[in-house]
Amino acid sequence: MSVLWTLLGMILTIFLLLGIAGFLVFAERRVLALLQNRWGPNRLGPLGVGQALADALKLLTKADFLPSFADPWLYRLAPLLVAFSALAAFAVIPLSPDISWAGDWQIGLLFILALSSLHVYGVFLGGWASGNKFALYGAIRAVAQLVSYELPMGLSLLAIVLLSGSLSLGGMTSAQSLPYILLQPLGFLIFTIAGIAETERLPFDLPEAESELVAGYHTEYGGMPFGFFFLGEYVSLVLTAMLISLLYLGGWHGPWAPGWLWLLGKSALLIFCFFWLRATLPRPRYDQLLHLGWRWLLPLALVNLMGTALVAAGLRWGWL
Amino acid sequence: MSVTSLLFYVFSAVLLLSALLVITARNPVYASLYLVLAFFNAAALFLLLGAEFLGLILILVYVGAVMVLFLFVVMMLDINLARLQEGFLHYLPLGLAVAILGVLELAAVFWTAPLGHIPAPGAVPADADNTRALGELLYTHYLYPFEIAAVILLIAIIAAIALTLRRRPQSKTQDIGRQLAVKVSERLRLVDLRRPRP
Amino acid sequence: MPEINNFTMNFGPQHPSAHGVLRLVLELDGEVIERADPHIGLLHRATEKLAEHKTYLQNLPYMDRLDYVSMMCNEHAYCRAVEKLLGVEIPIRAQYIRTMFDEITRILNHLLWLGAYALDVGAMSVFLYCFREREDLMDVYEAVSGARMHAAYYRPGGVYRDLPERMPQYEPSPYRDARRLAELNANRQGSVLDFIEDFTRRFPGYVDEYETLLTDNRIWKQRTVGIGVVSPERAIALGFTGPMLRASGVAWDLRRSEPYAAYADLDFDIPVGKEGDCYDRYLVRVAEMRQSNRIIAQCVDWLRRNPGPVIVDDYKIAPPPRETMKTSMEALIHHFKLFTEGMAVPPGEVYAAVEAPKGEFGIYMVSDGANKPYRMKIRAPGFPHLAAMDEMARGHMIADVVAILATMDIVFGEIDR
Repeated sequence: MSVLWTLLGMILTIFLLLGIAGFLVFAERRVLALLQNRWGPNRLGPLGVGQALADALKLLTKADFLPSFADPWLYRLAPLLVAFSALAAFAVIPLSPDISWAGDWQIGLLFILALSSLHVYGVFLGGWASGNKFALYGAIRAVAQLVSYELPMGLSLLAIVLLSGSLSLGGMTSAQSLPYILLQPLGFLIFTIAGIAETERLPFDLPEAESELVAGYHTEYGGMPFGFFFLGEYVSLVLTAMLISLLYLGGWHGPWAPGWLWLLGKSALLIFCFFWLRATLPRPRYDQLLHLGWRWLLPLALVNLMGTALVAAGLRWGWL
Repeated sequence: MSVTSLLFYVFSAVLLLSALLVITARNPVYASLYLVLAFFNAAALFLLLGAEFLGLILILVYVGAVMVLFLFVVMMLDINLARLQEGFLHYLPLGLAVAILGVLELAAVFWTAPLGHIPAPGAVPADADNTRALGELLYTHYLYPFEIAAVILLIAIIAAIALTLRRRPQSKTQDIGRQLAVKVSERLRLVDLRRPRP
Repeated sequence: MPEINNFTMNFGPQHPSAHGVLRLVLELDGEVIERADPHIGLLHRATEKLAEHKTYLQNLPYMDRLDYVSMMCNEHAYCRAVEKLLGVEIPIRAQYIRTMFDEITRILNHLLWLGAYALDVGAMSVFLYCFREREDLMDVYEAVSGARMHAAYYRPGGVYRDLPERMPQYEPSPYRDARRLAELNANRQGSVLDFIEDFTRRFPGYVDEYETLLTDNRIWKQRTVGIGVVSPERAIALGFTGPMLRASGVAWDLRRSEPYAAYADLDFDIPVGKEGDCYDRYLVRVAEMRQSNRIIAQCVDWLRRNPGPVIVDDYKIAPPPRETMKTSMEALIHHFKLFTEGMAVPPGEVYAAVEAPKGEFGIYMVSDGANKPYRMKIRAPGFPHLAAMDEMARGHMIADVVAILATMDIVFGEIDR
């Protein structure tokens, strides 16, 4: 019986996440528009929120086609991998110490990193299975970018693991008597930049740079499969924002309001900052992007880790 | 049959099946993906055993890095299957000999191993941390092998890059440091070109 | 030894940043360009041939549609050519109006260029900010000619009519409440000149905004510094003109070297670059916007103080005013002849060029004494620039091709004609 309830709860969580992703699609368009001196969707529903529903319905009712030169199995598998890897990561994200599915699983963090590896596969297969030169180009760029930025991300997270002594997200958030952004400012920067690169948003949206490769690896997708790619991108955006809030900004710590409200508030602020970045910055060239990841972020992340380790060891063994 | 054994049989079956498909699939991309599936099932088996760190690291490293590399190569090269399978009959006797040798050696190991006398693993407390246990072992008793393995991997990376790096003579690269150091005042000047009035 | 073939890619003609219809065939080695081959002609409308079959007045709107982002400059070149052939001097007020509108056109062009360039490189907001400014300028176009873009305002002999005393106002609408309406109409209460003066006061602030977003932005510098470098000797040899030439370090501007209209009496500087890369071209064009603003302010001031005729008196060239046409017989006959047969231009050949925002836009006109040109050849500034695409893009990457194409300020209307 409890299995049934658990199952129901999981399905509800997934729907909630999809709903949030849909709302974010609308929110991004609105925020971007207002930053660009125009209105954005403001006709449907109060303040235009109905646009999210309209977009979802549109994607759901579009024809589900298979290009003749595409690989039938992989073409259908790729969007599912992208959406799955983004949604499944929320199993280990705690909203507060008592609201989570598996937030205190001992290796929640590794689980999230493993799922981001799976995301790479979705992108890769999407580009290759489309049977289109441009899509393959976009997929190769995307995979190189994703793999390159996984390293600084993991290394900056290792410093947090060092400080908190736990690999579970719940453990890491609870251990923050002081938000880790104060103890790890460099790590925060590295993780934020790497996180934005992992979700492929401007300024790191080269794989989908419209002005260069039309739409990169999801050029040949339409209807709900495209919707899955889209959804996966926005859900991973929420994931990145929540991770940063949990790990660096203190998560659910905060006075007066319930913990989950603080977490959601911090995540919302971060998501607004991501939208803001998209409206402002131009896009670096592909090799400059990789240059940033390998020549700057990776060494800095290593330095951050070693510095943290030295300080932690010093404090523990009494040098400092 | 408990849920654990059921899951064990399911995962093992899929693992064996996908491993078989790796070597029999016609399309090399499909073969690599079957290998990825095999890895996922192996990771699930690890999780069932309580070695969660190993399982997730298997996915992170093998699936996330090694197989991505494989897939990169396989997808970029247009592998002509017919040409690859040309010399099959020619190499069959040698291949068969090596395979039989391998099977004989495995059989010898299993024959002589005390399979019936391996003690059952000790009861593991519920909150034992696989990660912590591995870490405590790796960084104390096995520190030297660990560090040496890391250095060997580094050498492998450097060697691979050094062997394949080619400088393109005609590509114009820009030095980012110099790009960022450019100042408007040294690039732009305003001149007044007015001709002197007669 | 495995053979490494070059990978050929078609960039356009349907492409979000091909700036019109350009088919650019790129031969790539990985991401590095081995060869770039532009195929043009997808917007060819046979303007020069059509011009041979239309009278001089009927040809004027074609000029608008050549470089369709800098409309009045094209008209100016055409009118200068016809006036040279006719041998007439246009009134001084018309010269100043033309100067002012040339500079307004320069700002329009550079705003669109900046917006499109930023959009291609990824900074999407600048595009919308630039278009907000363009709206004001297009309202000026509309006030003076009735059309927001293709204003057939300049005529051989001067300009069509004087600047209006009233600026068109925003009308009440269900989407604008009274307060918003008052806000929008606040700077439109006077004449067109008042509105333009208000614009010149606000504009430097806007250019500062764009510069804040782009000029010192590291990502912008990474995308533009050192890309598409053209040395001054090569620039002259390839036939570059305008900002492309000035960014390479050659201080050449038709407004100063062969002054026309009222430029000789106005105070302005010419921005010149140094390296000839995309960053210099960006800096030069932004500085040109500021200088244009200066010129417009001076013209507004002069125009306020000096009323007068805006088109030549000769009714064989310029149509008489409508009131006169309705009362005087000769005026009616002149009106009729002008709008049916058109004016007769003495035989000869002439080349007239203006410093259009993109470069030197020239019209070479051959007349055999008829009412239609015998041959009209258009020298488009973008044509040699696009021809240099291969040389500029070789060795760079695909992303740089987008930057280089945008920096050339290519508009296919004038390249394909």
